Amino acid sequence: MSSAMVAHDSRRQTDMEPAWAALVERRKVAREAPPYEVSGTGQIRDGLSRMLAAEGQRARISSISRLGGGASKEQFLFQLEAPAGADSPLSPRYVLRTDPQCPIIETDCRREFVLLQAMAGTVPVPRPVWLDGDGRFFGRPAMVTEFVPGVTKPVAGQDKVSGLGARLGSALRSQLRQPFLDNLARIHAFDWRGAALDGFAIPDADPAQAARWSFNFWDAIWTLDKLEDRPIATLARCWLKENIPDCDELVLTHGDYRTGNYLFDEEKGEINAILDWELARIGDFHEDIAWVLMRLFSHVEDGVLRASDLYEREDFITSYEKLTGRTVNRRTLHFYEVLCVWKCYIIVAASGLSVSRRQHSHQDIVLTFMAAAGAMFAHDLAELLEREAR
Amino acid sequence: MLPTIEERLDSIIRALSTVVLAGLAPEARLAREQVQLSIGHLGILRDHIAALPQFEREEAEDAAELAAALLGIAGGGAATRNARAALAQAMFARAGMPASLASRAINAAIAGLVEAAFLDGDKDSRASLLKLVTQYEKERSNKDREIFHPYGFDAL
Repeated sequence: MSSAMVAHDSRRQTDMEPAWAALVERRKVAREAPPYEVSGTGQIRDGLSRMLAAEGQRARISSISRLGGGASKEQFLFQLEAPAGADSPLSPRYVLRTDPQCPIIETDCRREFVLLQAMAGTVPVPRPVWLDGDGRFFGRPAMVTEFVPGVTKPVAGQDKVSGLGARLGSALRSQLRQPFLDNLARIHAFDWRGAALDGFAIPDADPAQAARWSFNFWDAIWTLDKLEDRPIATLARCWLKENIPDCDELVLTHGDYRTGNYLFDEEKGEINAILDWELARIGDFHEDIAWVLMRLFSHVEDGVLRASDLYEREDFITSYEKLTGRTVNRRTLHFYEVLCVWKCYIIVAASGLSVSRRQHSHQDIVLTFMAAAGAMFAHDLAELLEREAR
Repeated sequence: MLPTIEERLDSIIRALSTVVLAGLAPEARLAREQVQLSIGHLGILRDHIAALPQFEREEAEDAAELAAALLGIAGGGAATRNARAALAQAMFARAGMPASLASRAINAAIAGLVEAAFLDGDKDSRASLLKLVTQYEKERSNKDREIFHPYGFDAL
């Protein structure tokens, strides 16, 4: 190989969306910090007061409580009381989301804030209100949105982390499946070029850049967080690197689209808000399709596996094709299915355990618990890659 | 007479379930969730403890079996030859090692061989490697899934 080719190959190995490359660098620093001390509501109240003052808000914080659930962000629900005589309407309740010392997935809340602003009117989202992108008030990045009522899973009879092994049941399934698909189609049809999303770069240097950016980010996280080797994870990494597909059409991808990441009204069977946009980027729609089809987010009933407990595999693919007019390329989908399972393996078996060993999260116990899912992802990778051995 | 590990864990679970959880306010959602998770975690650990040494031995044996099979087929350029030698060395060095360390060392060497195979492995040996690793992982991961089944992520 000539020296020019070696340099070109080396550039490709590190080619990543700049904002995501910055997250890798941030993680390298955060990993070296001492154990994380969980925020008390007093500290959060103090940070909120300073942020509100800086925003020119004279409202008083009337209540604040910690929310449960989730494996990554710390979440607090609070209420504001307008000062006497104020005419500005206040939302009854707000949600504050902050990163712990080192989250299971490194993300940038400034991008999420920008995107939530942009998506209003396209799909239902929580209205973003205030941003502490550099951690000036809370010591780490934070964002406030208006509270949206609803649930991420049926209230009765569920004890799993939201969306894992999602079970909606037949009545909710029939109500939620079309809006679920419609919203995904709207996200993929969003005019991101017209919106000029601050902080979002466009992977258009060559047709393979969209997939390469995604692979390289997760490869960097794997290299950073890996605690031990597993042959199938290495095999998947090598296979992915060799099989980066071209992208025919760049779209806005959500990155974590599934049951568990939208709020719905259980009585009306309506979707109130699409949540968790941290992994959104300009990329290939196949990545979202593959994520929806992940077994982790599916439910098996009477031997039938339904993605997000809404669609059987082929039903989802053909319904998406029919609604959007796009063709799902099965070879590209296969690449992204391997990538998504590999990502999940990295998240639970490398990043989650790495964070909990360093005591860097308020949810160390959840992360250790979730690492048990690593075996399932290893099995899924083996099944997906077995096709390549035939 | 000493309390067994199971007895000690049972008493912790009982304290968490009947006293600590009951003493937490309903609005302390994260605290309640984490206590419930602790109870579940400890219960699973109690059930795993007796079987763990055998599980780790079997894990090391499985890794060694795959390594032996890979040593039989690996061929290619310098990177593959070096990785093959490193795997042979890891197999040799495993004698007398605790099972979990042996598994780790062998898996690291196998990972090195997989990477090398994608760099300069012979076409046939690379195809065999793909087949061997995926077959091994399907069997190995099923054993892992079985033991982690109580965590509830996996419909198996």
